[in-house]
Amino acid sequence: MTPTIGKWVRLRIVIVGLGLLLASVWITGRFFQLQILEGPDLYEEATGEYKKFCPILPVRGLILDRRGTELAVSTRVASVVAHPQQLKNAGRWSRELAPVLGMKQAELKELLTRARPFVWVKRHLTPEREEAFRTWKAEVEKKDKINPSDPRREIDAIYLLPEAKRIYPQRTLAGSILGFCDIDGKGLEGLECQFDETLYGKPKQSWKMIDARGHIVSTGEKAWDPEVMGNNLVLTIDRTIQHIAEKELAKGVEKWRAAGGLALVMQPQTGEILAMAQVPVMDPNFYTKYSEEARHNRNITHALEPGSTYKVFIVASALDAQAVKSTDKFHCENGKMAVGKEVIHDAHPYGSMTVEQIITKSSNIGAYKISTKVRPAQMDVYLKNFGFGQRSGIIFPGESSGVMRALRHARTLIDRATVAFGQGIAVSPLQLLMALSAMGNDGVVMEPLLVKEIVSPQGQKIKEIQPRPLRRVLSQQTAQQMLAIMETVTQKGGTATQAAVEGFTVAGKTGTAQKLVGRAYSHSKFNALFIGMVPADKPVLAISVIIDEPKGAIYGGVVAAPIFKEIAAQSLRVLGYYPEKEPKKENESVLAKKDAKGKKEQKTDKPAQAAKNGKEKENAPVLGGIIPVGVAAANAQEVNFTPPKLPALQGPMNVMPDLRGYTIRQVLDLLHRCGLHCRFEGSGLAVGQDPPPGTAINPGETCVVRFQGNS
Amino acid sequence: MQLRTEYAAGTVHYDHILQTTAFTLAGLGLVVVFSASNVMAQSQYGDAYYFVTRQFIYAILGVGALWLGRRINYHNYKRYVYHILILCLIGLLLVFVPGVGARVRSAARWVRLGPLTVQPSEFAKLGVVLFLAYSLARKQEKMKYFAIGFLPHMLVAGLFIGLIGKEPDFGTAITLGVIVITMLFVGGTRLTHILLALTGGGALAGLMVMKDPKKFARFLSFIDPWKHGQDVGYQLKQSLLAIGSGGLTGLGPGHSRTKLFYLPDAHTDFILSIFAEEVGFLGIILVMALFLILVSRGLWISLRAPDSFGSYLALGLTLVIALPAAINMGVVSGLLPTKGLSLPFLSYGGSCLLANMLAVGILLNISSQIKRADKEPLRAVAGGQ
Repeated sequence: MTPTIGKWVRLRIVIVGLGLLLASVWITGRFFQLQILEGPDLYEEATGEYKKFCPILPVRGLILDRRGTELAVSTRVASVVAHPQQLKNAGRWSRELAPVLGMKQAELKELLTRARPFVWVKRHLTPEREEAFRTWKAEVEKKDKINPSDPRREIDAIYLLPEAKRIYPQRTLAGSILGFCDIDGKGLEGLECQFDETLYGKPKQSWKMIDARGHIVSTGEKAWDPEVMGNNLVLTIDRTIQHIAEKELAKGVEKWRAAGGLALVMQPQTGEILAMAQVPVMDPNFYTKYSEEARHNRNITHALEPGSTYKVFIVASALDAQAVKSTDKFHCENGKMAVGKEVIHDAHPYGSMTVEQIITKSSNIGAYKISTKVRPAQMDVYLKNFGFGQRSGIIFPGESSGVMRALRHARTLIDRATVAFGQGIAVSPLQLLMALSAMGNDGVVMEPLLVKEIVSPQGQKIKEIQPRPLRRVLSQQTAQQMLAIMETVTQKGGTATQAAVEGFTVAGKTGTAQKLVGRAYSHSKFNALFIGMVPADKPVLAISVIIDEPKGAIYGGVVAAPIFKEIAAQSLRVLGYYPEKEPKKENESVLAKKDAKGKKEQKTDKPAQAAKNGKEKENAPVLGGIIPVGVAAANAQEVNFTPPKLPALQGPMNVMPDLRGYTIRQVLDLLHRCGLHCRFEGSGLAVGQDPPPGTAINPGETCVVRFQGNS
Repeated sequence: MQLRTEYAAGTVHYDHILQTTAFTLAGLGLVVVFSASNVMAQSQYGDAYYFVTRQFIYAILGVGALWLGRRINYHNYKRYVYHILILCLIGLLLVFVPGVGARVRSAARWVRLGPLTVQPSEFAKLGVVLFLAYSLARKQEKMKYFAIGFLPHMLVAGLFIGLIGKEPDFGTAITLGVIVITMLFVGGTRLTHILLALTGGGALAGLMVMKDPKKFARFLSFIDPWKHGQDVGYQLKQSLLAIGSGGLTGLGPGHSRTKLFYLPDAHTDFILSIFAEEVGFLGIILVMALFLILVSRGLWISLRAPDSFGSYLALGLTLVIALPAAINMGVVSGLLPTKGLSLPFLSYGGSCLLANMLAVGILLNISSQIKRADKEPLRAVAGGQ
């Protein structure tokens, strides 16, 4: 055993000890400085580093029809984005990602090597591709181990970014009214463009904890934050009537091998547009596939010669100005009449006819003669009051004001003459129907409406657009008189007997307008028109049908009138109006059924039976101003299936909703809002679910919903 | 032998305070390793407990090492000093042998032993300390001669330091250098020799730092971490942000934000930053106090050891724990330039924990042989002085 250490050694050990003590004091002092003196500042600085102000992208509001059917919705989709400057192996990533995203490798590599801090690699992935990308990324993350001294990995610079994508579940239906959005959710056409600000939503920013790889750490977020959602737009359009109009119009266009067609359905009393159809159609989901022409809503943005339909406004003005009486007779010159240097013709030679007959038979010469009875300046005022030559004020982008020449400034007689039968001027289909509706509304022009309400995402009405009378153009008396005159058009001997709707009276007017090709009228290309209202004595619907370049027949009464009839007949049923005289057979069977039912219920429920009878009465045509909406909605279910409306958008739910009866899309949307994952079985309407309704749920859970066909 | 019977009777008195402190630090280490590593472990291995499970196994082995060190009479080491030294040398050489040595991030510091990897440099420190203690105790008064007291020690230590530096593991190399110089200073080497060694070593270190742009950049980043916060100073900047965020009481256990991949090496070299962030300045004071108790007990044993070999050995073992701790704390708080050096007991790492526990075990054995006041007369006779 070595001897113990000496005192000098002891001293030096003590010196070492003191040195270490000094070091510990120094280090403690340093920690005191960092944590106590500079602590709050460093904390703030660290917060700035770890928490990022993350934008929450807005979610565009819904566009609904007047009954709440979704015409435009937003769903969440994912896009692949990348920060090229953080990628060193762009070659590898493009090689691996190309099959995953279904892109060309060269194209990917070009994107990933751009000298940009941020690029969109592929936007709006399909669910399959999104899943494929997630799988791929998980595999890469497993393969590429983290380097502990630099945990920021290259793969983290390529990731999914959630976005809202606009979807038009009804596809081509009302496509030209809705318009469309670009990929960033900015409205480009139609109502999407006009109400872009309303629908856009409020982009929000929130502080979020971000880890060093750029992933958001805190996940207290709702899947669908109502705060960033835009307002919903409720249209005056009725999805069912829109469907009818589009279907019948397409049928007609096909039948007559026409270049296209336009149809409008309006409530004369309110100016609300129930349907606005055009052929060819446009599917806003794929708007890029369509020509500029097809994207326009031509009922509003295009103007055309109204042809003979215009005569009713000339005659109405003359009657209202008391320049003529409906019984006044005019000689129609047997089909040929010289006006100045030109000659005007009738389709058939007529002799002396009353004002009413001139409309019934649609005589150009007669109409001209009537127009000469009114001072040009006065006629100008009437036509202007009808709304021609000026924008109707409908809230829609790109409205055409049409072309009107003031009669009082007409240079030649023929210029004035042709106006009487709708040549040399141009009106938009909307103007035409709006003017016609005035006659069905006791002479008052209503503002045409496409949008009924603006509703907040929480379901509160922000703005309700009420029907607004613009001005009176005719006296009530003249309006009634015109209805009676126009009724003769669809009666025996009129030009549009095919427009007559069984069980209803129809007031209308045909038109056949030569199309202008270059500067001259074409002899082979025509527009066939029919505008009309039903029922004739107190109209509830005003409908215009225009067929562009029909082949085989050109007359409005032959081509357009039958389409009018179909649209009118079906729409009336949708709105709850039934013919005054039901076909006997149907009536009997209904009665028999009712009897059988009545007998069964007789003993138990007499008051109910009485109530039912009362309701039956209500179902008879209600010819007073406003359409019974409740009845209309009830009957709508019979004609065309409309899924039940979703509950109003509220905050996230914490119990399982009852999903039965909803469509897949609605279920998806609803569960998305609850933050639930969902597995679907079958298709059609929801018939079963697990967990059952009312069960407490937590976001992130998975549920199963079974569907069955609804037909 | 008398000692063995005392052990058997359970009457051997070793330093309980030292042992408790070591266990407390190791236990605290488990908690901190879990807190600092779980996010990374979850993301990389899909198992948040990946590191803490392993550290727990090392801790169990560490308790075994401590028991072993306590059990073996430290005088027995004298016979095997050179064997141990050569074993350490072989270990240090093995890291460079392809197939046996394991490279991580281009640093060859590990040797594969079946499923385990061992870091020989941790044990080499103990070997060098043992050699120095043995040599210093033998040479005593001759320490002041250059050829006897300075040169042989510097050559042996230089070989080890050089090999460790070659791995490269500059942190451990410099620590070992400081341990050697301190021990030589205590042993009685002339101050002029020590100054010579310091200037030589300093110049060498300076040269290597200047030559290697990466190290030079590290050095620069230490001078102004905020300016180089995006590149070379990133780690230090994150460390300072973490420590500062802690404030007096910390953000709460498990609430570190920096561990979300911001701070590299969060569960190894920079574990104290996470600890400071989660439990604040009070936590730092606790850790500092534990280390101070440990070191003061070690030095106390060194002063009271029954012979000079025991004294030098106790001093060296104390320094093996104290110096890395002090340097690591200095590094994470930005007082010293950044170098890879783990914090004894707290950082994740098996070899380090094992070596430190073994060191504490040996210290305990020395403490058990201290002549205590009540037994002094008896022992004095027995010792035959």
